[in-house]
Amino acid sequence: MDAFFVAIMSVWNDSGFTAFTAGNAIMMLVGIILLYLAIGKGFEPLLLSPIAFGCILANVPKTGFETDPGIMQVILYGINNEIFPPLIFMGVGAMTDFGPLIANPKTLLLGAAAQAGVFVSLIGALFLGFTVQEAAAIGIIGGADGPTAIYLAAKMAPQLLGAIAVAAYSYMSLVPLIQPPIMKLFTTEEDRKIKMAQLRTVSHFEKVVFPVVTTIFISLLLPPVCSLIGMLMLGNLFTEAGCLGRLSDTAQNALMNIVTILLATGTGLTMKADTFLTYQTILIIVLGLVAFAAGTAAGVIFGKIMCWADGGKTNPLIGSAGVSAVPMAARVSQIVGQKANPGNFLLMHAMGPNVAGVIGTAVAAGTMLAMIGPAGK
Amino acid sequence: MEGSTSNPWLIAIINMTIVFGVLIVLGGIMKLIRYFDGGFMGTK
Repeated sequence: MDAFFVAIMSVWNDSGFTAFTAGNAIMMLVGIILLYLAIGKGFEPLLLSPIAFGCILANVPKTGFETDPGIMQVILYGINNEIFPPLIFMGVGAMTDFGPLIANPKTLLLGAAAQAGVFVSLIGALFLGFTVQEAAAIGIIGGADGPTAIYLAAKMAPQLLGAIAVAAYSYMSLVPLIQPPIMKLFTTEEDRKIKMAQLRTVSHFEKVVFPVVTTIFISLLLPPVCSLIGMLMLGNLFTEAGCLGRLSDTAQNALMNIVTILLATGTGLTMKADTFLTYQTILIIVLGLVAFAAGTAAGVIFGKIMCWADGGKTNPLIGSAGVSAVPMAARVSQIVGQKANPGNFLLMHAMGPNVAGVIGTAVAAGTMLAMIGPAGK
Repeated sequence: MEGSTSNPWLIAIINMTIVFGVLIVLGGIMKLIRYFDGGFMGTK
């Protein structure tokens, strides 16, 4: 009988219950709330569900995820060594049509202007006492680009990776709620009614040469983001080449889905109670919102300047799509524009600044890596 | 250049200049590609 109790006590002592803390319970509750938002409310369910489940798993004590060999360590390796974000970018590239941007290159400026949010947040983070590397990683939330945010956070502030990833993906899913009030604040009813002329047709040659030349130029200028830009453009080349249908299909479907599962679950695994339940996390969530709002405002204001400069040909609403969040931000421009004028079709016009924002965020990340350097430097 | 400054205003100004500069050059590259497409490739 003694042996029975010894065995039972041994199982109990080895169980997670003996090391379970209030922090773990709170984080599991956070995971369950995120699951509810994803599945019940439909907020970015493909990303938020695995993040939420990873968060629950991360807060089970004594799992040995970070020390024992196994799938969880492989996933964490992929997060901490910047393997998954470039693979996600390849899928994004395969799904992206750069045609609207090539047809109207001036919309590149809107993608650049919307990056102002990154630096508003960076300045705020520095004044709140974060290190310059941490501030840069927090600022990139304003780029509304999840893979780039994870890429930069893993390099510059790995201890804040969980909070930054959750803030980035949460705000991306809330784009339809955050952006419209800001867009309306900085535009008049007349601005929102402006109809834009139809875009020209972009040739096959232009679509094939663009990713190749862009990769060479940006990678030579900013080698630290070569893997991000290179994979984005490689995925795009798969689609535009016309003879690589199988590779394009894999990049935008099977591979994209697999890497999304690994990246999102891994992001959740970084949300351990001892690193996540801190005052810094609250600040990061607030700064992320400031970055998003400032980026949206800067894009719309620059859109107004462009509208004034070209004699009213540009609808300023497309400027808000410069914050990336492809393609949701472009859809928001379309919805807000169509509410003002039911005959307004801004979606393709907004895709220009939208994809320019992806490139702009990667350039901003590369510039900060080059200027400031990764963590520990 | 690595680790050269921690002045937030300087970081912001330099970064925005580079972001605008890179995207403006990309715009130029797009126009150049179109020029080549029309002039040499003859697809227009």
